[in-house]
Amino acid sequence: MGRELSLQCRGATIRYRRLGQGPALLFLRSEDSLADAPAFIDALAQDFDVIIPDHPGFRSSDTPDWLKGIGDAAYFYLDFLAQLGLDRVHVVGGSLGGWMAAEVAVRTCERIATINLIAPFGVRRKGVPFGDIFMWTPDENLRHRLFDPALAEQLLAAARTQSPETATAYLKDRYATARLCWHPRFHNPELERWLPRIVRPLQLIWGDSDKVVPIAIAEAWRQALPQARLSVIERCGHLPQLEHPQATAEKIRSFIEEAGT
Amino acid sequence: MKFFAFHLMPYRHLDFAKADAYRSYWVVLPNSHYDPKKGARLYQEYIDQLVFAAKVGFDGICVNEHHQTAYGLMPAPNIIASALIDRTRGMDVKIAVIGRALPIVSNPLTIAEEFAMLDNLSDGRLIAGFVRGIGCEYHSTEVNPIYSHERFHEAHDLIVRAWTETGPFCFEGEHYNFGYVNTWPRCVQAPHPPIWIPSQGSGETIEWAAAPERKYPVIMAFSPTDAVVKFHGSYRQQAEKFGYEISGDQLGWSTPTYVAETDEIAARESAEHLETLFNNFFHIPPELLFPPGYTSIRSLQAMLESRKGLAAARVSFNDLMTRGNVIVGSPATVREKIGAMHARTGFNIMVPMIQFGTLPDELVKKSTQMFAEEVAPKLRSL
Repeated sequence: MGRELSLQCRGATIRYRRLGQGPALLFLRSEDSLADAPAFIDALAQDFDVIIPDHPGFRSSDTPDWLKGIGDAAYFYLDFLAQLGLDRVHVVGGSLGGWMAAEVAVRTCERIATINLIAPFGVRRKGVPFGDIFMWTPDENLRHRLFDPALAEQLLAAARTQSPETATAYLKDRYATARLCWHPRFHNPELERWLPRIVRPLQLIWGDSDKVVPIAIAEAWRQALPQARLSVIERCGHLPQLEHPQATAEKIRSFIEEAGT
Repeated sequence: MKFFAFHLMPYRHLDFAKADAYRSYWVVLPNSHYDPKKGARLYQEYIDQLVFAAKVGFDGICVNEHHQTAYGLMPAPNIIASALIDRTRGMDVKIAVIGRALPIVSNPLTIAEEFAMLDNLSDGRLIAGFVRGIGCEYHSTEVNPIYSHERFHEAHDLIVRAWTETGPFCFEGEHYNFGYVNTWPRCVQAPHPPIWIPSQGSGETIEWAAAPERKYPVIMAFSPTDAVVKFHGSYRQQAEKFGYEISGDQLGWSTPTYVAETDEIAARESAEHLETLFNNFFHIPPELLFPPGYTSIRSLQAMLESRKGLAAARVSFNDLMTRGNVIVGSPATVREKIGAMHARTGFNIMVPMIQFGTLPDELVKKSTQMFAEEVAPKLRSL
C-alpha cells in the first residue's frame, strides 16, 4: 500500500501515496476510476520511489476553485514537485495523466529526468477521433478501454457490487474529467505547437487496440518529437498498465535505464 | 388564468423502427432520417396550428429551442417566432419563446438583439424565455456542461443589462467579455419583455427565479402532477423566505394536453401519440441527458435513482395518466384536472402542449378548438 500522505496547495488538500525505494518516479494516473493495478505499481516500486497523487478534483483530493483547465493542473504539478523537493524525477503518465505530464514538461523540464506517456490525451490528429467517453455508459467505458473482454467482464462483475461511496467517487472523477477535457475535446492546441520544448528522453507506450486514444494519434506526437520512442504493446487496449502490467513496467524501467540519467 | 399553446415541432414522419436502433433520438440519430420534402410541409402545418390556437382564443403561443434531434425542429426558435408574429399581426396574442438556451452560445448579445428585434416586430407582444438547454445540447455544441450554471447566470445578467442600461458600456465576466455593449434596437416593452423560466424543477432554479429583483414566472414542464405541486409549493416557500407573497402569475404548468368529446374518445385518439413522445422522442440515456456538471452530483444521483427501472420498460398511456404527466379527457375532465391543480398550487399560467409525438393535424386542431371553447372560458376567472 505504501504511505498515505497529503499536502496543501493554494487552499486545497491534495492526497498522494508513496511506496518503494530508488530514484523518484511520479505516476500521473488516467482519468478512469479503476483501482491502480497493483502488479504494475509493485513492479515499479521495486526500482523506484513511486509517488501517486490523486489529481486535484479527483478521488480523495479536493476540487479547488482554481482548477478550470489543463494549464491549472500543469502549474499545480510544478508546485507539487517543488514542494516535495523532487529535482530529478521520472514522470510516468497515463491518458489524462499523460497529458498533464506533457503540459508540465513544455513549461519546464527543470525537475524532470525522463518522461513516459501511456496513450496520452493532449494532442489530436485530425481524422482520428478520440473515443467519446462522455457518451459511453459506465459498462461501455470499461469494455472499450480493454482489449480482453474476459478482464472487462470480471471488472464489471466487481463493479456491480460497488458501494455508494465508490459510485460517488466515479461521478466525482467524471466531473473533474469533463472540467479538463470537455472542450477542446481531450487536447490543447497549444500543446502540440510547443512539444519541442520537451528536452528530456521521452517514450510513448501504446496499446495496439486502443479505442479511447487510437494508436494512430501517436504519429502526431512523433512528428513534433522525432526523437521520442514509440513502444507498442500488442493485444492491448487503452490501459497497458492494467492489461500488461509487467511488460509495461519493464518498458518504463529499461527506457529509464537506457536514458542513463 | 391565462392559456398559452405550446409546440415542440417534432419530426413526426420518422421511421421509428429504424430510429429505435440508435442510442438516442438526440445528437446521434443520423439526419438522413429527415426528409426535407415532408419536413418543409410540417413547418407550415405546425405554424398553422399555433396561429389557429391564437385565432380560437389562446392568450399566447409558444415555441422553444433544441438541437440535432427529431424531438423538435426549432434549433433557431426566433425564426419561427418571427413568422408567428407576422401571421398574428394586429391580434392581442403573446409570442413566447420559452426559451433560448443561453449557456450554449458564445455571444449572448445576439440573443439580446434578436429578442429586442422580435419585441419591435410584434410591437411589444414578446415573452422571452431563458433556459440552460437540456443535457444533450452540451454534447451537440461541445460547450462544457461544468460551466452551464455559471454561463446561464452570466449571460442572463448581460442580456438584462443590454436591455436596460444605456450603451455603450463594458461587460467583464468570467465567460463573456465585451468592450462595447450597445444594443440596437431597444425593446418596446419597458423595462424589457417578460422573462419566463421553463424548468424541470431544480431547487437552484427556484431560488434564483424567486429572488425579489427577478420574480420570474417558472414554467414546470414534463412532470408528474405531484412533482408540479411540490415545485410550485417550493416556489411559494422561497418567496416567503424572500419576504413577499407569491402571485399565481409566477407559476406555470406545461404539459401535453388533449381534449375530445368524451374521455374514452380522447384516450383512444391520443394514446399512441403520447406514448411516442415519451418512449421514442424522449428516449435519452443518462449520459446524454445529464452530462457531468449539468447538475450537481447529488441531484444527478437522486435523478438516476428515480429513473431506475424507467429506462428499460416502455411507459404506457395508462402510466402517464396515473402519474399525471399528461392531461387527456372530455372538456369537463380537463377542466376538472386543471382546476384541481389550481386549487392545490394557485398557478395561473397554463401551457398546454397542443401537439405531441405523432399527433396528426386534424386532431391537433380539433383538440385545440375544444380546449379554447369548452375548457379555457370557464377557468379564466380563476
